[in-house]
Amino acid sequence: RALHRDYVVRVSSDSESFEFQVSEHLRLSGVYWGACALHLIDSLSALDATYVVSFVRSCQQGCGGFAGNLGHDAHMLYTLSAVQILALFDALDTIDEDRVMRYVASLQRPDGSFAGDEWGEVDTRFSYCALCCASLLGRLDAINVASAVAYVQSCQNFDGGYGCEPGGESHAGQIFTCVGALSLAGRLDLVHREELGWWLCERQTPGGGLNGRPQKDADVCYSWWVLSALNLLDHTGWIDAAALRAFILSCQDLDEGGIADKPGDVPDVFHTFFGIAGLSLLGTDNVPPIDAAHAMPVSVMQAVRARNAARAAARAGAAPVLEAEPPLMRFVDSAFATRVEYELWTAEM
Amino acid sequence: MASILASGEYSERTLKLSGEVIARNAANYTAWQFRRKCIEVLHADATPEERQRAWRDELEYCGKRGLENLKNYQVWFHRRSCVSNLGDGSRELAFVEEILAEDSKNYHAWGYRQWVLARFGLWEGELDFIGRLLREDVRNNSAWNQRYFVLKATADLASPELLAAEAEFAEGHIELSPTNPSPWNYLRGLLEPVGYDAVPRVRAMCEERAAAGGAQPGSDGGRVMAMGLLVDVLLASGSREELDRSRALCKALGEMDPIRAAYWRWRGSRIGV
Repeated sequence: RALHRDYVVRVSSDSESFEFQVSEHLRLSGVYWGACALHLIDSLSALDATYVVSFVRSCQQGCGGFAGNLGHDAHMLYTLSAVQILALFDALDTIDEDRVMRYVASLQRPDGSFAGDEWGEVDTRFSYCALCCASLLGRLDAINVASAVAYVQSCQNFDGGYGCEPGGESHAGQIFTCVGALSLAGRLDLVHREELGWWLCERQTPGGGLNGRPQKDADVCYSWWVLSALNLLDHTGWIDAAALRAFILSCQDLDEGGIADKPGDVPDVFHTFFGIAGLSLLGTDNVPPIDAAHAMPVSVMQAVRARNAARAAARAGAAPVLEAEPPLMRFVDSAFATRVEYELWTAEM
Repeated sequence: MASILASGEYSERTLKLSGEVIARNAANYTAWQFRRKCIEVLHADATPEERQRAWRDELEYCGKRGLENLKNYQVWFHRRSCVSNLGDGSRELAFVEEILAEDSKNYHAWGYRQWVLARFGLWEGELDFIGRLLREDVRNNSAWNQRYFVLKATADLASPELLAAEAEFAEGHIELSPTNPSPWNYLRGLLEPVGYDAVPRVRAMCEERAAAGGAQPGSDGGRVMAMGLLVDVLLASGSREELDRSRALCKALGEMDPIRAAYWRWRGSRIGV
């Protein structure tokens, strides 16, 4: 763990490195992968929260969306990364969620699909980004979820999988985004479990690692794309966990830290995050649970949900129920440090 | 790139500068967007011929970057923009073929090819192209997906003649590589919606291979694949005996395909429920 923590911190600041420079346009996503990986190994404090949050905020453009870095244009991908990073640092209150959702909603097209930006590239990845963003901000009401679902479903293929656009080849990455989108929309009933389940667990190669399509090579990042989709379908057990775990661990760089795509290759922060996330889904190595639909630690999602419920209640003008059942009090307790604080708050309403 | 954007200058000069940014990092999406904006601005008052020439030059530039950066979203989307502005897709299939010769499963290339086919209606010859690629590499899953895509757009997927012909095509490729899942998934995808009875030969083929014919060192002769498809065929028939048999097949598959034992147990448990 310490090796991986040091690796992530090192690559986050090594601005001279080639990898740092060629990934500069997607810096926000890089920060999300690094920060989420650190959170999962209980080392988020290795990053300077104030600096990260202010950097993220500085990437917000006039339209409300976030760019991948300073000097770039706003894009759906980096808007999601921004919201995810802020959630990790419990800093969602630092942005105007209406502004962000106006940008996200503006990218939805009449057929329910989402463009990545004003130039109109369409991809089910962007459908996922929109729904995930909305869900993290508690604002699924701001987009047309039904038509978003219809478009995602139109990308379902003859083999039960999903592609980038209607007819696009089934690919584990696209399947994660589509199953994730359907999960966030509450429409997993539309998935063909037998076929897609078979397709997903057929990704496991004899060596234990997972590939992204039939007859391709295993790669650590598919430990996330495939496993998260199975997890959302409540079938994580369809993968041979011991074999996959062995594969992920064999992709670690035991000298310099970090995880690579394949054993012996050079690590990068993308594969480091997805390798750790894969171990989390397997429930091994003391990695805390990750929420598969949002690709965020479960502990963070608990705080996010509490925050959103409180905000929704405030918007509706309703005061929380005073004579709460114990489960509700646990939720209320997470939003207020003490009962006294809570009573003062309700008195103000 | 930031300073170029800040200047707000759309000119031949900044167009050239954006090229230098892309040379250092072809995934810089802002640079590609800037190029599209530049061309629009530079030729806002131009004649249609001049605009065509500009987009043709840009397409040539895009093609060179595409050959250098095969796995880059931006270069492919930029290509769609150029070709859309030109309204001419006549050379695009050849370009994609060039890319596929280097990387036959390139996800972007196949997606772009689908866009070209649908946009310009260039379906003729595509099935032959797919056949040729499969002869070169029977394991190319992208080609199988493409085949379904073409037929769905141009033919009647419920036609008995088509289904029989496609089943024969798939079986021919199963013969060459019986453990490759692609043709098996293709058969399932084609026949599940209309019923496996549409092509009885498919069931017969599954029964033959499931009975352990064809196994060799390092390959089970397609036995696991055949048994898996047979489970679906038997389930569809619905008779008590066939359901019992499919349950037994699932149990056997749990042992023969142990890495997916949990999946087969689940399938078995759901039969007749």
